[in-house]
Amino acid sequence: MINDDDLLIQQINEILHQQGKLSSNHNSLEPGTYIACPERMISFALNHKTCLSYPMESVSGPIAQFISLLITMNNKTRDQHPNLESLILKVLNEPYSPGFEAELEKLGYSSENTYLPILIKFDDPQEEWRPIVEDYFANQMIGALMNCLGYFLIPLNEFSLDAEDKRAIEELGNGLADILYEEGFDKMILSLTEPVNSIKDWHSSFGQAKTIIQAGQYFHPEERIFFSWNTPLEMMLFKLPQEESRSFIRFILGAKESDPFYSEMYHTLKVFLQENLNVSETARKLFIHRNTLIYRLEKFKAETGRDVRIGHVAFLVYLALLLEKGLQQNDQI
Amino acid sequence: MAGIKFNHIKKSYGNNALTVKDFHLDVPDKEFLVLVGPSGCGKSTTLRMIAGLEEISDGELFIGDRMVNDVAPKDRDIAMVFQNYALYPHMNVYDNMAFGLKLRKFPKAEIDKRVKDAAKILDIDHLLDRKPKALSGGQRQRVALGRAIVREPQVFLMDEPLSNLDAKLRVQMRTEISKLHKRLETTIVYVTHDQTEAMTMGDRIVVMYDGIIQQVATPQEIYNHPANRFVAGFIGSPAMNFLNGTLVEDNRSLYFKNGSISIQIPEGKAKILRAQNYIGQEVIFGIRPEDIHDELIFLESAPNATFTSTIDVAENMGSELYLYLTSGENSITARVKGRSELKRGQSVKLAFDMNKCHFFDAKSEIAIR
Repeated sequence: MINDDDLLIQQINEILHQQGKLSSNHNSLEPGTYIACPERMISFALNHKTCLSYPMESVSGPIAQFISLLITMNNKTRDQHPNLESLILKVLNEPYSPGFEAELEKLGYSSENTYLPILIKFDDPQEEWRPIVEDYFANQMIGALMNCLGYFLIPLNEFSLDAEDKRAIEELGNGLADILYEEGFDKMILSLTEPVNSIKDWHSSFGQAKTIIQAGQYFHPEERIFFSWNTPLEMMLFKLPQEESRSFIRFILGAKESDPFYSEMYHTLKVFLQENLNVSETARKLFIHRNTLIYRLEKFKAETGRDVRIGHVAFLVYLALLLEKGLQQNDQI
Repeated sequence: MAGIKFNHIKKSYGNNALTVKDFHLDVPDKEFLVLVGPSGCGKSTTLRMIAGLEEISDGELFIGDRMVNDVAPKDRDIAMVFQNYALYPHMNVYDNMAFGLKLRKFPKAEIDKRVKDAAKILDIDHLLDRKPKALSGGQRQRVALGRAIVREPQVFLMDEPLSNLDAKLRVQMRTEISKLHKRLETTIVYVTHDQTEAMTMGDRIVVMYDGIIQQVATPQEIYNHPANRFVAGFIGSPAMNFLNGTLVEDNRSLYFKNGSISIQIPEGKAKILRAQNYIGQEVIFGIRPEDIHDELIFLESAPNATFTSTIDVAENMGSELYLYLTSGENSITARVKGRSELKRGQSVKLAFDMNKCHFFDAKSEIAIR
């Protein structure tokens, strides 16, 4: 593993000279130059003989030539090895077959390990965020970050956290999002599911993570990070055809659609349900006067005929308001 | 360094209701502005709009003289610090602080200078070789601050940066950030739900609720002259007491009546209430717990502002005693001197300091001034 930039530059120069790849315009790199391409990518490629997919636009000169060289070298080795990336894509996108496990194990993917799949959807064709994600997870990542049909998978190996420790996983996800925000990357959506223990579960876990992103964006466009354990209702309702959603909304809320009051009621009712329909506690959580909350609930009853102080009515109305919230966003799109 | 100008900023998601409604404010250069409010009030969304992490639905945002509505986050010359104080776990402190500058292709010597300077300011220069795992929560938060400082941005944006620290560290870091602001002489926009942080750190505070600015003022002004019932109840701990009642004129004096409680209103305040036609109307009476007294001198000097109540709970905080009382249908909290030997179940006579009381319109909940 090469740790020092200067040492790496020296090695790059040596390899380029040996291969006769240095052009007349680029004699060598000066020590002290920052290498935009993380050394881990290069050493990983050398050690694992895998394909590099680093964005070439962001590097130039000898480094670009060096990376091209590595890609050429690795493309040769790919003839000898099964294609790791395409195999993983196959594992993720197709139902499990016993052959997958054996092939992946040959490449060092132990079925004994626990993997934490993190899915990231990024609206950034330049992929400038890649080094940040790779540096954040560093040695925890199994191979390189993979683009799976528009969704980037960050598979973390030997995940040291307790599989049940959801809070720790939430911290990990929030930490990654914060790091990306700090560097000015905003157009991403993250989904984190529970760690999986077997290659058999990769396909379903990947599918779940994709659905979480789609459902999360549909219902909560104001949020960027979704966890499987916080979005079961959204994942279920997302599969409901729009016509059936509209019909359910009409049945519960009446003919009136797109009332701005519904948005306020959605947040009110969410807290009201969380607080077991306790008016005082809900008012306290919402920082409103108890009478204001009662007024809101009465107003809603007068408009829709639904008394949300009754438990099962409250839940049905919450479902309708969540569907309405999603449809409002969807109409905009 | 630069100020920020919010020109009628609005934010909504899809066709849904506005999350931030008409945020209009000038933040002068070098100000420490705190956005405070309960969860979901729009404070973080506002901060994220400054950062460029949320698109602005309507209005204009200026950082310095430049309108930044369409400027990418990385080109806004801002630096952010979040509550998770996320660091690259496999990099040492030095590399963590240098990473952003390396991405921006700063010369190595400049990076080195900035990292070492920031480390010195934050008193973490002895930790530069350590990995985040070997740091305490407070030290990690300093590194996160260091990552922001090395950028030398025009504006610092901080989103609940102390929320994940324990109570003792929070107090310490509060002071550190305030000192840092004085030293760096830069504009800071700081988001918190903690009113103590807001009161102790901000040059000015913006209290937000339901996507709307409720009040913008200095901490003292907000505490002493809250604009409405929400601000009055949100700022101050224990919270201000509120009693709904009616204003009644009796023998040329004005009284606030609520069940068994009848208190005379000082002439200065009575004049305002009369002038605004509140006589005979329902109003909300507000009084802070520390403006309720049990000392004899108060009881004797304000005989028409007293009430008798039973103590439900007495919490001895050492220097002061919190009394949780019931009087008729009202729950009242009083904060009296710690040497009072009052106990649970005891009946007690207390006096309101009527010069410190507040009145709010019962419907709009706006302060009557």
